[in-house]
Amino acid sequence: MITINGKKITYKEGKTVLETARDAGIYIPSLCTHQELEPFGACRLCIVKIEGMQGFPTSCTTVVRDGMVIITEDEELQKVRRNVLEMLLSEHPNTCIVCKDKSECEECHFGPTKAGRVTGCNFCPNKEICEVREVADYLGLEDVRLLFEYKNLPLERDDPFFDRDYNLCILCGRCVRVCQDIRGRGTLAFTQRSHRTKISTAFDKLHLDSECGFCGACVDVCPTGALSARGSKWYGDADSCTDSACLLCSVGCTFSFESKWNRVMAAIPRRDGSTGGQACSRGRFCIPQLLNGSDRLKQPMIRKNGKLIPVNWDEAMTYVAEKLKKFTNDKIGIIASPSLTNESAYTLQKFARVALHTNNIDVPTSDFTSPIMKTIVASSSAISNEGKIKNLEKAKWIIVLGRRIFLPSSALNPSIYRAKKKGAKIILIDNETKAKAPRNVDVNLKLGVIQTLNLFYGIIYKLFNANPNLVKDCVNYGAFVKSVKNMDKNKLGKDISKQVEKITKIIENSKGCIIFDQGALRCSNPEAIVNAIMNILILSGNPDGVIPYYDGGNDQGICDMGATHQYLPGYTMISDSASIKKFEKLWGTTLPKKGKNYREMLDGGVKALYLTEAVPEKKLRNIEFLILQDIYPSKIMDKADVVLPACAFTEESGTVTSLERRVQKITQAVEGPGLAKPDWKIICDLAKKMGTKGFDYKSHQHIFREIKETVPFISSEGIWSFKDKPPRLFPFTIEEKINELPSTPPRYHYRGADIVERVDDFRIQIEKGGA
Amino acid sequence: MNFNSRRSKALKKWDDLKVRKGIIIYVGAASCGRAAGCDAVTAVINKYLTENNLKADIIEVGCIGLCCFEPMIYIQKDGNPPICYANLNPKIIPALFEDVLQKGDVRKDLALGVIDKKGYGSIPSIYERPMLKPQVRIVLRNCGIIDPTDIDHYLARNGYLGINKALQMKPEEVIKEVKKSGIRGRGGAGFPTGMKWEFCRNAKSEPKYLVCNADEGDPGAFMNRSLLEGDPHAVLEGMLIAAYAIGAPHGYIYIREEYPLAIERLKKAILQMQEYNILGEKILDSDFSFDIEIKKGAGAFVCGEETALLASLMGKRGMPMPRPPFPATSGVWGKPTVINNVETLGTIATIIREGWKWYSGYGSETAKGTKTFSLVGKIKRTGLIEVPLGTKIRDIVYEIGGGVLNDKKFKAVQTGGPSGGCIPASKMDLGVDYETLTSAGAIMGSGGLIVMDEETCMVDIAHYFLTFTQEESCGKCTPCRIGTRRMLEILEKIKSGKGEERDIELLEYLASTVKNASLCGLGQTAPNPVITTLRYFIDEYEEHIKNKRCPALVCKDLITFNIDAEKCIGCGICKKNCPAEAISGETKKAHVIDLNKCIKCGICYQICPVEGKAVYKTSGGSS
Repeated sequence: MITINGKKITYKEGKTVLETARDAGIYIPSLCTHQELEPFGACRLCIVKIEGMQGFPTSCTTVVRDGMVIITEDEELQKVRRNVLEMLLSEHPNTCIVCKDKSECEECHFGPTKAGRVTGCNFCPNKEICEVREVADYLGLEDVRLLFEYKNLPLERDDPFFDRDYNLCILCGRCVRVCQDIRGRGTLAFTQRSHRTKISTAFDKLHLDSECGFCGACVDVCPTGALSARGSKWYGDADSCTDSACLLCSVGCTFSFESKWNRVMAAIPRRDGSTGGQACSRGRFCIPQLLNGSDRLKQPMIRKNGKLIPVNWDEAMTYVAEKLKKFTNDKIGIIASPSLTNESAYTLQKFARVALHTNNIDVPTSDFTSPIMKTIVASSSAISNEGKIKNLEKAKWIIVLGRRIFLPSSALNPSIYRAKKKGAKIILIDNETKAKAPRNVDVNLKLGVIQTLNLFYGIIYKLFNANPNLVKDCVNYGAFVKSVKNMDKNKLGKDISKQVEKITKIIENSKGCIIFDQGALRCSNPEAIVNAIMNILILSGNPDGVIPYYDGGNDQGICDMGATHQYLPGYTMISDSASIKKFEKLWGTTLPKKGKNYREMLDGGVKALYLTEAVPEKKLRNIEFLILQDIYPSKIMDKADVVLPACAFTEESGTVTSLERRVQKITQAVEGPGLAKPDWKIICDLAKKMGTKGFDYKSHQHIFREIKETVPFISSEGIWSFKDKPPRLFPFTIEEKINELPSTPPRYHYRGADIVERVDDFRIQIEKGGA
Repeated sequence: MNFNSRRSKALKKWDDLKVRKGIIIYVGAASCGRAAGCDAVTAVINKYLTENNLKADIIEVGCIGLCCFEPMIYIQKDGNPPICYANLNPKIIPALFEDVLQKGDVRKDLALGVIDKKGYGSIPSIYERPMLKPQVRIVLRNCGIIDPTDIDHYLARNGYLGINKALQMKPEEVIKEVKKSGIRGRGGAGFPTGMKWEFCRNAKSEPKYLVCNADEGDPGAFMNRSLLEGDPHAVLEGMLIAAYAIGAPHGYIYIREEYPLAIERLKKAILQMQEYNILGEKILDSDFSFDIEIKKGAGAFVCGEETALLASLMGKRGMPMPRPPFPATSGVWGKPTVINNVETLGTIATIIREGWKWYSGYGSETAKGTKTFSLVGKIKRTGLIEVPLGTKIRDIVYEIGGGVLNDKKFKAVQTGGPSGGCIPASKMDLGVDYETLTSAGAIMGSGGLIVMDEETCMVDIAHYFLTFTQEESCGKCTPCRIGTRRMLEILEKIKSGKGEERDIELLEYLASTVKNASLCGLGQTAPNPVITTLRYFIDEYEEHIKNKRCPALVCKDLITFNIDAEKCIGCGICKKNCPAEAISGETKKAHVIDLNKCIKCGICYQICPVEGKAVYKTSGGSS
């Protein structure tokens, strides 16, 4: 129990006086503290009086002790605070903070005035979030007696995404700390000293040249108008804010979308998500420009006399339904975009199987997802409820396959860095022999696919022999032991054996994770790699430590929903005739036993193709009827017979599943453009046009209820896992004949829209190699 | 070879040196000696010796503290005690050497004293000189006496007996001994050293670290520098004892890059210690192991503040962090750390060797022992002094320092460097110790003592020190970064005659806010020069503001230079040297200064050859 201002208050051990007071609803002004950051004690506004302590301790740095008697507000404290604020305002444009006509002006002056330089609040884009104003109001500061000094620093507007006006900076250091302590980058720092102290990069270089990831974390913590997102700074107050998630990659950062005039204008990271309020440049800055293009598909179109002609939905649906009837089931294929919601993916695969009687459905990213799904389905992985990203932070070692995960634009970086700060060893395995190790990497092994596999086999051998009893209860134990015994260690080679020793020492008996991206599986036998990864994780006691880094926003969800050619929803094999009975009964139909994969479909395997996102047009062979359901026009539209406008993820509601298997909600923030509809609605309408039953969904919740019925492991939002299945080991043999395929650049796509092409600032970032 | 045989060997070497036939020349070659030109003197000596076919050993020693007498050498001839010759220059060397070495004339006129307790012939002991007589030299006992680059010299002067004794004791007993001695941190804040060690020893985390703070940054202070240059082993031995007491296997010396000679001496000393098994694994065959790393600072005043020092030591920007946690619980790499000042560590070995009772016999009630000061400013005898705590300011200024330069009026003394305060002449009978100085508005600081005479303008002094502190603010906390800047602007305004009545009020409120609300010691003490000058010399501020007059005739914007036509002899020297061509007049006739052209550089005032100066300054209508 402690006493604040005469009131008895209970406290939590380890909390600071400031936190305790704020939890109890007692306001103490402060400008440099931030909930995500360590106490800094710079602004000196949060001073309090504590019995038995000299002078005015800062509440943000003082940890509560039992029996403390604290005063947070009295005339003396307020006077010192006012004086400190007065000093601060002698260098921060203050005309609108201490003006005597302030209250009247506030009433009449609506929104910020766009001006070259900010001289007062009415010219500041960040007026609404300004914390200096808040503190000035609280302290009732009416006059600044000191001579005003405008620092006259140049406005910094030559970098992508955000502007910097350090004349407004109060040097709270939040941006520096978030960049160094949370993101682990250290692009920003204090430079100079005395009153010339400022925030800058090393040698005042551009952010583009300073390893900045443009994650925007600095912008988000800035309490003034010093840092502002260029794309959204002048819109003033948002009409509405919608809590949702980002679908531009599979990490699943949660955002609050600010919208105005039925457009998403800004995406502000939410702290309740799995990445704790940390995002990347795509999510933080690219969404408005990516989705608000004037050339969005707004109307259904049908090709008549060689030209795409806008029609209404009914005509389009009738046309498609008629056309599709002309093809045999085996010759119709569907490509499921990895950016669909779970509901749309479920509806789409059901449409394929029930309306078209085909299993010809797959994702364009199947090269990567299919080996992962095979292994994950086979080996159960119990996952803690916290999720893999939170687990990542607790790891003692992290093996990363592929450099892409370290790109500054990856929102996994903060979690990896957090683990590193707690002492985790970060091991990167890639084959980019010329590139130097990225920041924060402890060990960088340059290995090709075969060498990597050999390394893994060596580690498996060592881990297993160190503690064979650990995995006794695993499925496949016998076969696995046999393959270990048969292994010829000499085949590994001397260099690899050395690395095996080194890595095994790091990973044995401690918590860890393996993250890999699609580049890691670019070979003729990707399954061998995934199997080896799973073996290592199980042998080191981390069955839930696998983190596949998908490029597609909902790759995981699409596969869970069964929008692939091998599986029905919930990973029921299509060849498993016993299990598919359940679906046949539920859907009132018989199900085909075979399907074509993505490559087969594009390569002439089908005649009619239903695309839910644009694919490279050059890959298409012998397609007679092409449907394109997308958000933007693309080259492939020249070949399309029908074009159907879909909604983007800010324009519909539903659920998506992130790489840590977290099912989370996305919520409609704005209306779709023109006649665009959510994908599931288009599919349902089409199914109904074709006379198929079972597509009378009234809402996305309606579909989700059916998903819960069919997919046993999904019961609600949150992390899903297979329960009560012991982990499975994978027998192996040392491979000698694996072809390594050339690696492909990262896929920065949302459906048919290429983010690099559509968002200029992102292109600049990519060109500098900084994304 | 064990310690005792090393020691007896060193003792023999030392005794041999003292009675050796032939010539030995000791040169005061610390930074102060070098600045005064000892290198040129040495060169001439060498030349003289070669030309005259004389053989002599030249030994470079540290600073004996008589900086006003540099460059100085001691000549030891045929085992007689060395005689100190002061204020030398290359020109008089040949004559001096000829007299002393060849003619057998000791040149009493140039001799300062004998470097021995007793005199020699007609020359008295140097310790009988008024500057040295009142001093008690404990920390500085070896400075200027031994060759700092020779560990045997230190050993011969009872060196490393302290650590040898400490290793026979339990660490707790060492701490107890230090606690009883009453020694407090000599870096300025005066925290009891023994308690600091105890906190660290009791902190439950391993390993522990020891840091020697050698980031002496006060303008005009050179105590630590001289000690490290003149007797590095004393500090290193203190580090060993401290490390043994707190249980630290690793120590750092954080030293400014600007002290190249001290760094060189430390490096050499560390190598010698390793050679003698006094540093490294199993020191002196005990179970105690310790190593020392030198970390050079990049020149920020604030890095003398312990938390900023830690940040800098760990490779971060030197910005202070709030305390608690104190370094004793969370310091270098988050581990318990003791940070001690050079002088504190330099004293430890003597305390252990001689016992706490002996040490606490010196000093005042609340502050035991001695303290070194660098005595500078408008004083006759500048230098590095060591006096028992509690010694009166009057005694320091008049007895040791010999009074104010040119017998001007003593106005004030600034203690504690730029963060300290000005103590007026009226408070001359205050003793220098932590509490007394704090109550007078100043601080003890690390030991700078700057004497000011009547020609010092107190507004100008406040401005001078504040310029320094505001420039050295790390920029982290608001009051220090902006508050000191605004104060400086107001002082500039007052100095330039644009002061307003409300400026004093503004200064007072800024000063109290900066003092109360700043994060670290730098900010909390930065307003001290302003606060104390406002307290003791408010009339000077008022003169500047109300009458636009600088009573000390210092503030350029408020003074004018004139030529007294009656005194002027028309020599034309001022005219010739005036950079603004503002002076006119015919030869042998009175000259005149054109006030419109005058840039107030003061050259004419300085060089006027007339006795009593024909050029005079006026301010606000009075001279």
